[in-house]
Amino acid sequence: MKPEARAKVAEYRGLVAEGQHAPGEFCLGTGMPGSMLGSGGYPMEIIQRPEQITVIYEAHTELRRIYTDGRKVNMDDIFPSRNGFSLARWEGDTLVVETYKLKEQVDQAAAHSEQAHIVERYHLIKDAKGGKILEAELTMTDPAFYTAAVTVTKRWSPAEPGTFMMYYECDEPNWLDFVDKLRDEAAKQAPAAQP
Amino acid sequence: MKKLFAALSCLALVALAAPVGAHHSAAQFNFRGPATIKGTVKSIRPANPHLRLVLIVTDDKGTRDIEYEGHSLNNFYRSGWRPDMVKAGDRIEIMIAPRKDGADGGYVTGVRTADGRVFGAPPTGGAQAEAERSR
Repeated sequence: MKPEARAKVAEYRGLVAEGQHAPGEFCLGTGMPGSMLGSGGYPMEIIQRPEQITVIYEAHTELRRIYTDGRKVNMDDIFPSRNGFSLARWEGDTLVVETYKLKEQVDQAAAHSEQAHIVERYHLIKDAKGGKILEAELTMTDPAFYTAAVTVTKRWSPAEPGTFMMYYECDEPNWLDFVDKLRDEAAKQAPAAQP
Repeated sequence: MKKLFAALSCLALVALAAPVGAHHSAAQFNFRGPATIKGTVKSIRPANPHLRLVLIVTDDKGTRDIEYEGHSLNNFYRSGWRPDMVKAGDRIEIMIAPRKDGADGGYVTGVRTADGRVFGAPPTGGAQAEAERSR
């Protein structure tokens, strides 16, 4: 990692170290590439339509859309986002996904600048018992933060039969606490009204 | 379009990661020194990212309400917790990672319900606890 990048990451980590704060506290997902590298032990769902693959992570209900319809996009027209803008094509049996327009992020382990470009290569392999494994090679190139490309291999196995995706509205506890607070304040202001 | 992924579409995949959500300040709890606490449920609020449980506990310090956090609703569901297994008024045992500062409270990693079912880490270890674990 380049020195300027290291400094940015160190500054952020210094701020959040004591409270061990992280975006998930605010129900915010990790962002690419971190979102594809681990998700707190929660499952992920992949929905495949001809024109688009949608990945929904149970954790924080984070999601990615990957466009497979061959569309031409002027990336200058796209605002950066935490999961970026992804276009994919098939090369034989391998799905190649290219992600652009990522926001600069130091709040994930795989910190990166806005210049980051991620290429993922997905294919199916078999495990020792002949079961299906999805394997991906993720390569991130980021001339602003890194002196060389970074590559990671990730594998997923199908969830156990009977697993289903659950909801994860992690702002709900904050909302419920807020309503309780309103209730407490109302009770303080109107003691005579109590039965 | 390739049919390669057709069988995986709509399948849930599992990525490996730590059991405690990365967003939580786990530093305040001692996960290496778990403890078992018995008490009566005053209130329970299952949620993501964390459970909130208030137990009425009686020990050598007296009787008082103690609030605990715990694993997410989704995590506990996948270790066997179902609606109405734990209700206000139930006598339960919990396995916790105690607070490092020694104060009341902690992080709930497992529960033994009033009728003996266990979800999460068993409050008392051993084969008997494992055999009681509901599925």
